[in-house]
Amino acid sequence: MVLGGLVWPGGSAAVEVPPGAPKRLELPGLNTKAKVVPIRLDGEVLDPPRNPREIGWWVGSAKPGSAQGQTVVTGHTVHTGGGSLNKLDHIEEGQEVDIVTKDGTFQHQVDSVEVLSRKELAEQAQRIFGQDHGDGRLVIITCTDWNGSSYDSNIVVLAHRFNALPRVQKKS
Amino acid sequence: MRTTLIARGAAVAAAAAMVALSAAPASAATVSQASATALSLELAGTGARDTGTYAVTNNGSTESAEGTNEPLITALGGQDAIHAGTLAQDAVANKDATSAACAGLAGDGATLVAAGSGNCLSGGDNISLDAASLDFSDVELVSSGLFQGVDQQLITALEEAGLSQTAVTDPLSAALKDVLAAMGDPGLHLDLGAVQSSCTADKDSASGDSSLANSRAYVTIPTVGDVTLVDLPVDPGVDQKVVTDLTGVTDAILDALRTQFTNALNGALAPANDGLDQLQTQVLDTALGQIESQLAPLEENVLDITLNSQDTAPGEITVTALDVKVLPAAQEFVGGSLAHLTIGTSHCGPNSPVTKTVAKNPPKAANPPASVPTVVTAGMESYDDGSAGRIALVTLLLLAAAGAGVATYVRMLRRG
Repeated sequence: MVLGGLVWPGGSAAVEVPPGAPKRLELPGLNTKAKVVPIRLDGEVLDPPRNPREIGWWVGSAKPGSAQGQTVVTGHTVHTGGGSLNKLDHIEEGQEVDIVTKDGTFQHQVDSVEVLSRKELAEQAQRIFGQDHGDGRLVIITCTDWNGSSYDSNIVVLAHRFNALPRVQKKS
Repeated sequence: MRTTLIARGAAVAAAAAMVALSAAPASAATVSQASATALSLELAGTGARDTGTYAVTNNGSTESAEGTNEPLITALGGQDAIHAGTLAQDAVANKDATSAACAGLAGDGATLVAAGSGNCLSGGDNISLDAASLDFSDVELVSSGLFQGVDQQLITALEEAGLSQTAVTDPLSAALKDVLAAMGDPGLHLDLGAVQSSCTADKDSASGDSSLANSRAYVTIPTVGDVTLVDLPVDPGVDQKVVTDLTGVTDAILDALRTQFTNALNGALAPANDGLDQLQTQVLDTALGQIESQLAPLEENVLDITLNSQDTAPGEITVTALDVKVLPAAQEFVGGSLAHLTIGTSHCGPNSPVTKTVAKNPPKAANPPASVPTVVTAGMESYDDGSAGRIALVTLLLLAAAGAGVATYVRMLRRG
């Protein structure tokens, strides 16, 4: 029984891409690609990888391709540049966001871009990060609103999955 | 160098000591008990090594101890995996039917804290532990398979150019050997901060926990540098498994091979005036596909890492902070023997002569009430990866080179 994953017609035979841990996040509209590594909660704090060029996948969230829950990834915005999600404040609704696993690529389309204060994020944490809803939605989050010494807000991008492309196998 | 670790024997010995204590009949006036083992490992073919177990019991009036609570790294002689660091193993057993233990490893400079206060190590440098060396000497090209599926017309064109198939496959085999030789034997390392476990028990129940500060597993490849496999969580859940994905290592090898194979094929096919581009593409894909399939086990999992392993029974618990084994799937790349290492094993209880109620230690992360992030700290002011310094150095070198060129030109004009 297949609980997750997508079946997508590929020629005469349907090809399934099973849910799997994310390896890479790609935002073609922002010319951004970054490696994804697993991260865990520290209490109620989600802290991206130490390397600001990498993206963190919260292991408590759904794997890409899952039929339930939502996949949560986060990366740094670096005030002086170089963060994996420095350009996220330029993303727009309708743009494509892809997440790559070892078995294929899950394509998403941005539904909303929200800027939330830290207080608002905490108040809406269940809606944004809860795993009892979402139907495989992708959640991308980083910081914004640099005040000269720290960041006041978070950008939250929500995207629904519309396609799955199996990994192309090399001919042998 | 092939360094392999197996700690099964040591772990069994330590566990046997604990079981012996645990199994002591309550009627033998053991009111409380606890034990601790800082580290155990076994090198294939050379036997087990461990820091010994420090075990204490209390008969209601007097505490008795066996073993040492001041273990030394030097006691782990005859191995190359670990050379320095601060070990801790301590336990207390009180007459009020309570007991506590803690055990672990930290780098030099760590502060020791007596058992009973939770952790027994504080601070200290990180310590590097050599878990194994990867060996790629068995990776090979199957020359006879490289031309399977290649168009016969291309084979004919190759022969018409005066080239045999061997003239194509031999340079590829040589290129493979060159790349693998340059890779050397990449080392598989654990970079560990303070790694420790602790436990407490009373007459009714027992509980324990583990922590790992700034710890990770990584591979050092001579031609690439350090490739981090996994950052270990500071506060792991109970029996948390960690997967080590060596995709970064295999990608590095394949990238290097793609370049070398392309160069080798360009050279081999040079006598054919048109370069036989199609043949080159087909043979290159086949060759890289062969290597990729051989490296596939490394992309699954190499190390079986369990964090905060907890084994419970009524009124007692055994907690191991870090348990590492090299998995059989990766065995061909790390030598003929399995590796096994345990750090920080603490055991507490049982502490009452009466029958204990089952007190399975509640897992921290299991079935949490919908725990979700409420804070995302995804902003940094700046990040220096060293590139600015490198750019400045290159700029200085270019300026120096340009200056030297101008000076030479001026001298030539003067002489002319």
